[in-house]
Amino acid sequence: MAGPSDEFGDRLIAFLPNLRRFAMSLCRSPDVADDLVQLACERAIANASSFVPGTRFDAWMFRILRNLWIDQLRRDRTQGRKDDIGAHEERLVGDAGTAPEHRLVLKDVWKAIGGLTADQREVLLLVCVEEFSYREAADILGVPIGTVMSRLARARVNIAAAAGIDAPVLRSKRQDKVETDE
Amino acid sequence: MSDEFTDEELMAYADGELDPARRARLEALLPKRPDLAGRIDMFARTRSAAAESVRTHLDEPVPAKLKASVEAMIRQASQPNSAEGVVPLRPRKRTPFVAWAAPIAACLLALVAGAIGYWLATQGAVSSGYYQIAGIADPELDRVLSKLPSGEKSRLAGSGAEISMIASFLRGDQMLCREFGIAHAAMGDHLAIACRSAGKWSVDLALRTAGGATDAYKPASSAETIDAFLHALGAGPALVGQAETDALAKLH
Repeated sequence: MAGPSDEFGDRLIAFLPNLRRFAMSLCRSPDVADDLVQLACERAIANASSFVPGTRFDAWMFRILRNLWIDQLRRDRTQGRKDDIGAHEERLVGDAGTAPEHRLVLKDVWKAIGGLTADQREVLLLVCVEEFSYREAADILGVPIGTVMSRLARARVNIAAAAGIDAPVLRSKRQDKVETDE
Repeated sequence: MSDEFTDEELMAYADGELDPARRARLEALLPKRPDLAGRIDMFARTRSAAAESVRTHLDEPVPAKLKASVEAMIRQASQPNSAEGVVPLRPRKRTPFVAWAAPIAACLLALVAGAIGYWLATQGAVSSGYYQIAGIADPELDRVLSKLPSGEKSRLAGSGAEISMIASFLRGDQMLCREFGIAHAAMGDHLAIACRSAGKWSVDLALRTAGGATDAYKPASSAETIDAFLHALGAGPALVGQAETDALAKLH
């Protein structure tokens, strides 16, 4: 069997930061994430010939990694292990250029993302962080587009509630105030 | 056209994905509907906050070991005959499969068949109405394997064992295989892989992962063992959603 092309290898290496970020945000543990990324790369290299040129490489890789993660979760569940995503310590937001208040909001949001169900979290990551369209996210996850939209809306309503973003803006005055926060 | 907008539609508007007709309708309404405007604002802000929060928290370089390990896999894969050559070790836990997966998987198969055979021999009385683990699946398990979507559970009436479907995939020779968990109070928990063979399901691997229901012991390596076995089978990517439904439909 012919090995992957140089171009394939280059693309995979270039994509590692995104892949790791996606893995980290799925499982929230650097060790588990690194294993997951490594496993996804092994799977991708072994199946390089099934990648259709001209289609999105990022979506293909995310699908492989996400399916491996789902398999792992299902095995863990089978073995009575708990999904311990909430148990991981959230790390401090260290960006010095970020205003303290804003940093607190980001921290709350980060915490809230950790508190989402796995279904809601992955769709949030794909659409809001990795910037896939609803259709692309539906293809990666193997679910109908309506499911993507309802999970995503629920995820964002939950985050808004947890991080205090949800106050409905009823007066234009308050709306102005909100906008100056940006 | 309705002036009611669902959360999904308001979110789609914030994301630039609402269809043009609904978008026009919504934009006409917005000046007199601050409630809708506020909801859209919430969706817009949760999007940017989520993106910024994740990027800020996870903005770190890929560990050098991980990168080196992936580079080594790529190099190795592009030189098909060098599997016995220098195989850079994976930084932790797993070694790249290629070098050792096949012999290990073969050993496992023998080991598992032996263990299950032993159980069946010593607990023979219980085995009537019980599922058979290694070998051709009993009719009830056969039906579950042909039907149950991944992520769902089903209880076998005969034995009381609970089957949790984990994944479906095509083997190197394009035969359909399924990975699943079996939980049984007396027999303990297993992870198993069954593949289609001559119109039937054959359970090719079953790993004991825990004893009875209250036994907390779980060998840490079972998932890696399964991964090695899958790799040795030449397993393709998991079939999800419609692809899995279609693959199962083809069995009938």
